[in-house]
Amino acid sequence: MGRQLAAAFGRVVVTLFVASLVVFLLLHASGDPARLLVPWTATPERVAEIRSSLGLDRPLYVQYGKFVSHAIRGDFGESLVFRRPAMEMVLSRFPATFEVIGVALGLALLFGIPLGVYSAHRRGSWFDKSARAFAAVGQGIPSFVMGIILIFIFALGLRVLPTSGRGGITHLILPALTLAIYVMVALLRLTRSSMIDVLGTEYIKLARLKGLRESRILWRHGFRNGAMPVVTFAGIMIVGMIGAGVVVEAVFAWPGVGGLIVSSVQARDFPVAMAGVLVITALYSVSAFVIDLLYGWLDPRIRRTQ
Amino acid sequence: MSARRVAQVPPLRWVLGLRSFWKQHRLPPALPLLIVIVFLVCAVFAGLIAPHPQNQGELSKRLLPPTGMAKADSSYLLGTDGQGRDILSRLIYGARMALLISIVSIALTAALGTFIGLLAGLFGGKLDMVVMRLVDVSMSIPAILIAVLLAAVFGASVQNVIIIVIILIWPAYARLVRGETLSVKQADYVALARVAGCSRLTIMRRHILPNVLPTVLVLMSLHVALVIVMEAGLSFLGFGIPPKYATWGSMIQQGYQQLQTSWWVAVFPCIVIVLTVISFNILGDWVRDRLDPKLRQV
Repeated sequence: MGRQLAAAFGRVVVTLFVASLVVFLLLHASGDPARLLVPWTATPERVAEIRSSLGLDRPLYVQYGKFVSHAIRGDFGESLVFRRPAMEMVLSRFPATFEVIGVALGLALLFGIPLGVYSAHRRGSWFDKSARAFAAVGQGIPSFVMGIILIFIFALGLRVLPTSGRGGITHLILPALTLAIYVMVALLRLTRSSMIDVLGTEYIKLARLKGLRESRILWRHGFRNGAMPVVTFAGIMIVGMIGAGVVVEAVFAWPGVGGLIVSSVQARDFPVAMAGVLVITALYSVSAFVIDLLYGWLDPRIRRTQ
Repeated sequence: MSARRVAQVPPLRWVLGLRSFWKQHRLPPALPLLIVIVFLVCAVFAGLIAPHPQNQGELSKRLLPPTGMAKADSSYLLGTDGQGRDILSRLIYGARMALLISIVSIALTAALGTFIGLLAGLFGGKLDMVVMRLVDVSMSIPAILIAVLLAAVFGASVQNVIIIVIILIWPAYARLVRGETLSVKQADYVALARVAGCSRLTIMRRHILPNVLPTVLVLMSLHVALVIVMEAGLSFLGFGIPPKYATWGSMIQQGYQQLQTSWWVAVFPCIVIVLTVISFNILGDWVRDRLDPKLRQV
């Protein structure tokens, strides 16, 4: 188990390293930030001066090396535009992003899994058919279109919720729902197909013969075994939601990390963009790592082979 | 009484015949097929079908509501946008752009990803390790962030959107094809070909590729909807197709600020995207079930 952990941790580090290199090169290929910091009338000497004061005139590998050695110590440099520590800016946006993602994930799990289990249980019924239709429609609607549809109905039509911005609970509902539907539908489909496989097995028949209550059969005997792909997927989804969240944040003018990354890329604000992308990549790698651990807990068979 | 009598009349024979013919030959679901055909016809013959040019509006006719509403102009069936451009025509040209992006990028990606996957699966070793690591890393950065970074680097143009899509979806092909290759490689006929003295390239081309191809086709058909959504999302964020072309994503982007006063500018492209994407999804599922049912989990 110790070796397994070390190997998994090594994968996280390699992923972060390659990701940081790719992002670093891409951002540097995208343009010269010094040009954007000075007025159009600035002399070439002035631009060169700024460039050297920011260390942008040094060879690329020196700049990258400096970045890595600082990053390891937790220093991601200063925003070129706002003159604030980059990491601080990214982290200050995290509560808003986590708020939406947390609520959305909660909603998705709360509705997606029971709907999936029940629709597998009542396979072929009207409930199942309408759940599947809902899933097909929900999957076909891109998140920004879903956001606009929800704004159209609830904010402009019924006038019960605000259209955008961050404030009380009411501001949270639409963005969270937009993100949630996307995940809920996927969870529903996955849970349904996984449960259909499980419900056809011998041990479920045995549980029925034993005369167990149906809810116990479904959840303790059925879902415990059918949960594996669902757990994997829920983990991947957390990050997928950060990605989809970029668009949703744009639709609802929500002040989260995604919006910050987009605006800092547009402003060629390297340190902030780097810090943001790295934090999100780290989040993904770590959640993949946690999922590996969860496997062992959910399925003792895997624990034994390890 | 009369209502009951109507209900007892059997459906017309030719309808039943058509239905059983459809089922017997496992033809694709009819409604999605129809929508996709309309989409294709619009995309290919956009110049002939569209009643107005895609990008020249008359400012005197801005924000006209769709036909049927007060103050509507009957020559603009779905109304006009903030610059007086015909929404219907822009939707039709938008279909052309969506089709162009998805065909070109999916074809290129499938070729590239399949080739990389074949090499990785067949040769193994270091090459395989490097490829798989690249796949892992590119799958562990959220796609939209890569897209935003790439768009900032390359700037907005049609070619760049295609490049971005290729970079985002090639890992799916490489991984799938590598996996398939590894299992096909074990087959006896591959061993036999090797004993018979075939070179690795011949084995790849003659024995492995034909076995991997159905899987690739399935993935391609499932990707059409995904690419349409990607292109629309990029254009919506302002990182996609330059404004001189009409695209569904940019139409929504321009319209959603005016949702309150002129809903039709954003709502029609939303409807069109949803219908198209759902139809392509359903047809993609059908292709998968026909060609390669074991991929159901993908």
